[in-house]
Amino acid sequence: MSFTAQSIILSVPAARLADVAKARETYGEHLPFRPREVGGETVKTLLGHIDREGSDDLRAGVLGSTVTGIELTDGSLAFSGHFVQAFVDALGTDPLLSGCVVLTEEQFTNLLPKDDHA
Amino acid sequence: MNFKAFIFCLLAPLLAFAQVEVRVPGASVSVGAGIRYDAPAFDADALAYFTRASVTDATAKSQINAFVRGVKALGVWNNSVFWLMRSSQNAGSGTVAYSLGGLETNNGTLVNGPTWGASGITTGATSYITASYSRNVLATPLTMFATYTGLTPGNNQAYVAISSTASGTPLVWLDSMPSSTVNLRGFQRNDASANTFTGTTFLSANGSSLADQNTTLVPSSGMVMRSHTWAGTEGVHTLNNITCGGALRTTFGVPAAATYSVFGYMTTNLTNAQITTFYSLIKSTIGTGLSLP
Repeated sequence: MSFTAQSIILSVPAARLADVAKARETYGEHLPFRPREVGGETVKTLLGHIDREGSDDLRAGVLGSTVTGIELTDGSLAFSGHFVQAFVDALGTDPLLSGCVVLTEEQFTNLLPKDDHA
Repeated sequence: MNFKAFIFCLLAPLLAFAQVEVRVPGASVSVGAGIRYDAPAFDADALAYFTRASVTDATAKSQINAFVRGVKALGVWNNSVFWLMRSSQNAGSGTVAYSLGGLETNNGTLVNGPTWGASGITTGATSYITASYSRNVLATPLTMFATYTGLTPGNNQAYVAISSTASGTPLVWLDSMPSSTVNLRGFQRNDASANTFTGTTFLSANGSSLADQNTTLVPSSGMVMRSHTWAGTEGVHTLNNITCGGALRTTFGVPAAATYSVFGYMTTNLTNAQITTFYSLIKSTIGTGLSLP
């Protein structure tokens, strides 16, 4: 499997959501829902998350269920996790993914809606 | 016959027929004639939870069993839902945080990658745990509580609990954070159907009005406990939102990560003394080893 070693934050324009979902068929790789369970069910996905502290095991993220976009002030949605490397590599070249960009932590924080009391 | 052999012959019949009681919940072992390991069984609801959540750790089972029995002794089991989030006390892997309690089954979902750990589930700026809460919070008395670390002064373990009436009047607010480090304590409730906010009274002496609270922080059909803490002299302002309904989550905090070991709600009011007793139960059972205050 070739997922990014570090968790990254991907900004997706709202209009591109359907295209990104379709990209799962092209770039997706299989991850388990419950990594600690040997031989458990897997699903084709674009991103995963570290399952447990002290382990590098990734568990599958499912868009709309266990992965939800964080609304940013520029109208895009942010998704964070360990993405399939080939998908990340295609961000600048695949026209279906145009407008999708990797954000730094600082860029992401600046785009979060601000809390009145923060 | 020497002296040792004489003593052995004298005691052997007694040893052979002695009853040895080993209190290991759920264990029932008979070893040899006359020796019985008489262990009490697990509570049936605890046992069902072990199966649902795939809890296998013997220590965790014992802790959970004692907690369930304690909650029942307090008379609030049928009003309660809990999420035990230490990895050994729940699934410990995957995206489902199984619930425990007599009120309803209300499994939580880990969204955007919270991480299981020995001390609980760690959430971040974008990751949280969601669970449904379908009843009208404006028509139901409610007690919420949580134990967690992160977003607290010195990153120490902390607890927070609130109990309110059906009309939204807060009765009890308890937390373990010193007043000098918390400048805001409060809660707000949002009815799902009417999207109406109520319960804007602070109990903290150093609190202020919640009238200007950002209502977007309270999900529909939810109730949120929130506190601002000062992280020492550097004046870093952190915010903790613990929400019943839409999500148990931390948002907008710097640093964002918090690790939750227990979260729960009850559809009943608890008095200050009852909450204190309940917290002691958590500490002595499922919170063992967490250095809870």
